[in-house]
Amino acid sequence: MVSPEAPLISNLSVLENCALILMFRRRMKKKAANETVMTGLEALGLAGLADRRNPDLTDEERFAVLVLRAVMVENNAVAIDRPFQIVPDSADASFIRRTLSLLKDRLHECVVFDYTWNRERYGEV
Amino acid sequence: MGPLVGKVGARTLETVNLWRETLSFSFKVLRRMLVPDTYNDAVRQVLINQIYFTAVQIIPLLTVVAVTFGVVIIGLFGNYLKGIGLFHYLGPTLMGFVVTEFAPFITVLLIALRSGSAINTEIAVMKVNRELNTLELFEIDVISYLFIPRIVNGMVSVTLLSCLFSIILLTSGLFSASILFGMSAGEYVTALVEATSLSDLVITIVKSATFGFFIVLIPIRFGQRATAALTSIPISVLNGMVNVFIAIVFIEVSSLLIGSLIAGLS
Repeated sequence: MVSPEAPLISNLSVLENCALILMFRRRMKKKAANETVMTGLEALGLAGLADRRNPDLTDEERFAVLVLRAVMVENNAVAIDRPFQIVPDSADASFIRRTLSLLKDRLHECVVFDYTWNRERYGEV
Repeated sequence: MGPLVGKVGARTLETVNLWRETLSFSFKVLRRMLVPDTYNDAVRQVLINQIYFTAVQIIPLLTVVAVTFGVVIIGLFGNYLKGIGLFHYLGPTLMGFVVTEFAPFITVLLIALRSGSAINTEIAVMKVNRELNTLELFEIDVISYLFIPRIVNGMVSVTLLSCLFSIILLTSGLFSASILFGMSAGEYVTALVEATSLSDLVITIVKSATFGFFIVLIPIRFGQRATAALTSIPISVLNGMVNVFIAIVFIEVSSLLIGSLIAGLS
């Protein structure tokens, strides 16, 4: 789930937020979980954000991290809920396309839910 | 008269229900604490961080408080006992008062004021920010991940710091004992060791662990009661800390009664 209703945990870094899912859902050890998350962050070109916390991220970085966290769930079916509430200043859905294409190897299924009046902002997505 | 009785009754029922819920939640947490599977890498990491924040960061303040009380209390007790001709009871008096009553009480007050309020605020902020919602959405057990490490930390920290407080206080008391009463280190240590009893130590450890359990569990419960409004955070902390104080008094009085019963039976 990628949603404004499911924010990152504010007292954890980006790395810890994503690794937490692996440690609880897949029972992974901390070291292995961190390595998996770092590979995902590198795929997104955001490896430098690993130690940052939620308030230190830009809206687009936050969105990418939320998607990465969602794909950490095994056999994921990622639901993206109102993405323009997470990245309100974006004119179009290019940030969604970019993030999903960078994580396409890890993504099994993805559905975007949004208001009909945002339809034009999606273009061909 | 009728509405007043109604109000008192409603308030009493509300309080009783609150404590019943807290006790039922306590049993749920205790059961989960005993399951080894609860302690995965993420939970262990939180536990280590919590112990650092609660038990390690407070050591300088605890040391200053213990040294101050050590010099004063042993001076006062010694003078009083000397005045009534019972100076030879200094050891039992110090062990009975300092180790079983004073050290756990001051330690729990320090930790409740510092960490209890912080945990209450942290959980309330997480509730307002919908971070608890995030954990539920990802099927991360909130009790295992958030609550158990904090509660275990409370139990461990209060017990260990209580022991540390007693040791520092009694050690610094040697200063008063030698200056005011001319006791040598050997005499002082012998008086304390002879007055040490296993039952006192067991009561102290059990009491400290019980204090630690409730001064964290109650703030967590009240943090969870915060609503979506930011203004609910100070209200939740206020109510949580008042209830922590009531719990401390209740545990202290209960331990005194149990101690008296044990002493009466033996």
